[in-house]
Amino acid sequence: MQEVALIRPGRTTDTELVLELEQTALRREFEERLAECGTLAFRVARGVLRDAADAEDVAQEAMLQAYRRFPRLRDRSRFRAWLVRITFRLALDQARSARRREQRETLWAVAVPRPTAEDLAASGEFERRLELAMETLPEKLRLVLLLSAMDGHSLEEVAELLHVPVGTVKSRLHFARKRLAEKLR
Amino acid sequence: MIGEKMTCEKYKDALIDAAAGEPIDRRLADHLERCTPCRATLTHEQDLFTAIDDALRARMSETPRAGFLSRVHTQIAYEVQKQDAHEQSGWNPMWAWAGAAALALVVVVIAHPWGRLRQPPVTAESVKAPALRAHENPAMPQSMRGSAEHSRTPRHARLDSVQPLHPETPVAKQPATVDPEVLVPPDEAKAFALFVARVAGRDERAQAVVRPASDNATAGSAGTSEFLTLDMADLQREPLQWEAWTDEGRDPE
Repeated sequence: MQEVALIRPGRTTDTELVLELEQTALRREFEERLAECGTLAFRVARGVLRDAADAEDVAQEAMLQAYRRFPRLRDRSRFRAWLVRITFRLALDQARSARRREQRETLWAVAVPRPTAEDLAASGEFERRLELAMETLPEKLRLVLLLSAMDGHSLEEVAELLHVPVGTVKSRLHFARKRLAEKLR
Repeated sequence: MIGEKMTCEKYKDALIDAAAGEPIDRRLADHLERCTPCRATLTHEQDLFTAIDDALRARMSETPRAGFLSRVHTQIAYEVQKQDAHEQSGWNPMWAWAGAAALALVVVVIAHPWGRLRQPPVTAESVKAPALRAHENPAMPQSMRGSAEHSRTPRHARLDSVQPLHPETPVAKQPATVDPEVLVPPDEAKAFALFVARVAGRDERAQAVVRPASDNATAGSAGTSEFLTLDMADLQREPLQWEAWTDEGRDPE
């Protein structure tokens, strides 16, 4: 006896429609979150990178990556923390490659003009030393330091973002500031 | 003076902690009231921490340039368009992998020598017990054996025409090696060819030669004991006609 197959022409179209609706809803949800988290991503990147334009590029790339992986994010309430981590990682990578590039260029430079004391003062010597001191910090301490320095971020919020207890945030912040001060003293 | 310095050294860590924002304990507060250098150090350390905090806060309060978010939105829209274009074209990245795998398979098949694939490996088993030919397989139905028989050579036909010596012998026990393929060392090839040619002229004896020992025993019990003992001298006693032509100088007896 021959088997009979039931063919439903409308079924594929229905499935496609459902998928399209789901994708549209996802995209709308992502864009809503983006409006409130765009600046956060930029600031995290800016905390790591010296140049604001580089920070913008990194934040943009982080948000694109977040968009691509957004359907796979199980807990949507953790979006901010997730975006912070993506941005922080990307910014660190960018900073490392920039440092390597800088070292190469310095090695090949014929004559690098040495800055005078006035130049250093004008360009913010303290800023430069702070930058160097921060680069020596472990990533965990560094991220806590940056997030705590952001306006409107209490220790509780930082703890929630990093998914660690408030006590851990406090101790990490304390160690981070002490190590920075030690380097700058 | 030295004793006072040692006391200050004792409070160094507590002083830094206090500058970092930790609460000042009673002993340190008492010391600070009495020690002017430590008060200065505390002030200096507090300034340092304040400078650090201010620098970090200034940096972390920066905002992106105008149009930053709209640029991100544009980039995402472009990403969506790209995804749609991929979906409409039916392109799937997995296809690239499948194509590469197929190409690799084709390269392997072309590069592999066909001769190796076609020739079964020669083993000791295949030499001792030659494989049954398709048209000789007793298990094969007669209808399927027709086409195989059609392609046989006259020599095969002649050998196959030999009837079983004992009709009661099961068909499955008939010799499977009516046209055996035997690997012979080059130096023995001529002797073997001669032997085969002689035996081929005596089909009944050839049957006995190639029959397994157990069959011979069965045959013996059925009254055909002359096939049990096959002496090579008997085979040579009656030379074939063509042997006489080739062995002209040899004594026929």
